[in-house]
Amino acid sequence: MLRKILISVIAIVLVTQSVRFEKLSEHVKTAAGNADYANFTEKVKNIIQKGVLENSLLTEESQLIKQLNNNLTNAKKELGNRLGIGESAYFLVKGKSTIASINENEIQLANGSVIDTQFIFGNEIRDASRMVKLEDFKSQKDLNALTEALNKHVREVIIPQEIKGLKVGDNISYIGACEVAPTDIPVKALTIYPVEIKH
Amino acid sequence: MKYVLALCGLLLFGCSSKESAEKPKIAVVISTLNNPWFVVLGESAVKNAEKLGYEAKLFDSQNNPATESDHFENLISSGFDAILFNPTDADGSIANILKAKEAGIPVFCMDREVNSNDAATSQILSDNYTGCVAIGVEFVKQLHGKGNYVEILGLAGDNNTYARSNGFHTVVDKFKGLKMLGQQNGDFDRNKAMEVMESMMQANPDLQAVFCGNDAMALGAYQAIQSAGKSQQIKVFGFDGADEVVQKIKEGKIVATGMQYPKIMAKTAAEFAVEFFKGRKDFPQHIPMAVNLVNSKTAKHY
Repeated sequence: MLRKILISVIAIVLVTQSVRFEKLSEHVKTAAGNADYANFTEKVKNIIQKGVLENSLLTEESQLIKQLNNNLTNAKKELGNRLGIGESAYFLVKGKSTIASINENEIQLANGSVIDTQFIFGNEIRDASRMVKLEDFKSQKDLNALTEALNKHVREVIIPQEIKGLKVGDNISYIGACEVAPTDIPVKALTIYPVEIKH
Repeated sequence: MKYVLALCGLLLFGCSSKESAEKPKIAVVISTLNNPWFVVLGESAVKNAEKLGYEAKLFDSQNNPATESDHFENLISSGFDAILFNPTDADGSIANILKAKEAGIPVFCMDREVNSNDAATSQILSDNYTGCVAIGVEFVKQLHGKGNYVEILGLAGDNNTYARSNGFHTVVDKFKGLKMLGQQNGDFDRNKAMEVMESMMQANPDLQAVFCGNDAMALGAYQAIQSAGKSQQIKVFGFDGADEVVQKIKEGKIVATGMQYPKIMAKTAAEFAVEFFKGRKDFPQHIPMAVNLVNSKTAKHY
C-alpha cells in the first residue's frame, strides 16, 4: 500500500513538473512584444522634443484648418505625414483657447476643438513628428512597441501632470497632433492628441 | 502565293507564341479561397497583374502549408517571375519564400506577415495593430469602461491573430472595470465562432460584449447571440470591413469593425512586382496599410 502511494506521489510530481499550463491570454500578451520601454526612452524624448515641440511644421490651428480646407492634397504634402499607405494624414498643431468643459476623456475648447486626454493610443504623434522611418524597423511588432512607448509616456507621464487643476474657463495653450481624412473635409474643428498643455 | 501566305501566317503565329511564352508570369498564392475576403485579395492581385500586362495565375493553398509548398515547387519549376503571396503560416511559409528567393524570384507578401526580416522582398500588411487600437477605443467608449466580455481569436500561429488581439488589449486592459471572462480560438471561421460563442455564453451568462478577430467570426457570434435572445445585451465588435457587417452596423446590430483594403494591398503588391522587373531592388520590409474604424457614425462612407 505504502509503495503504491509513493509511486502515485512521484507520478504526480513528475507530471506537474513536466507540464506547464499557460493561459491563451498570457500567450497573446507575450506575443504583443515584450516591449522594453526603457530601450525607447531616448527615442521617445527626441520625438517629443525635436519631432513635435521644436518642429518647424508645427502650425497654428486656424491656419492649419484653412490650409486643409483649401487643398487637402497640398496640405498633406507640405505639413502632413503617414507611415505606409492610407488616405488620412497626421498633422502637428498648436493653439490657444478657453476650456468650455472637461470630462474624464477630453477637454472641450471654446473654439470647437477637442483635446483627447485619455485615448492617446494611435499613430497621430508618431507619424506627425516625421521622426520615425519604416526602414528603421525590422518588424511591425517593433514599430508598434515604439508607438506604444511614445503614447504611454505622453498619456501616463506628461499629460496627467499638465491637466492637474485645470478648470472650465481657464485659458490654455496646447501643442499636439491630429488626423485628417478626406471624409473630414470641410474641417471645422480638430480632435487633438496633446503633447503639451500650458495654463 | 498560298505557300507564302502560309509561311507568313506561320511566322506570325510563331512570333506571337514566342512572345506569349516569354511574357513574364506572376503567381498569386493565397492561403485559402474558402474565405471571401481572401478571394477578393487573390482575384484583385490577378486582375492588377494582368492590367499591368503580365500573365497571372491564382493558386489556393487551402490553409495547408504542404499544399503551399507544392505550389512553390511547381511555380518555381514552371518559370514564374514573381510571387504575390498570402502565406498560410508566419513561420512555416518562410522556407517556401527562401526557395523562391534562391531561384531569383521576388516574393511580395500580402496581408499576412512572415516572421523573417529578409526572406520576402517586401510585406504589404494591414495595420492590424493600429486598427484594433481604434476598435479598443470604441469598445471602451461603448461600454463606458466597465463590463464583462469575451474574445474570439483567429488562428493560432497567425501573426494577424496576435497583432489584432494585442492592439485591442493595449487599450482595453488599461480599464480595470472591463473584465475578460473567456478567450478562445474561432479560427477566423463563422461556424466555429458561433459554437464558441454559444459555449462562452453558457459559461458566462452575464456578458456585455464580444470582440472577434474578424468579421466572419463576428457574424457567427452575432448569430449565436441572436438565437440566445441576447442581442440587446451583448455588443459585437469585428474586424475586416465585410459588406454584411457594415450593413449590420448601419442597422445597429453590430457595433464596429475595422475596414481593411484588400484591393489596394493587391494592387500595391502587383505594382511592386512590376517595379522589381524594371530594376527597383530596394523595398521597405514592411508597409502598413491603414485600417479605418467603421461605426454607426462612419458607416455611411462605406
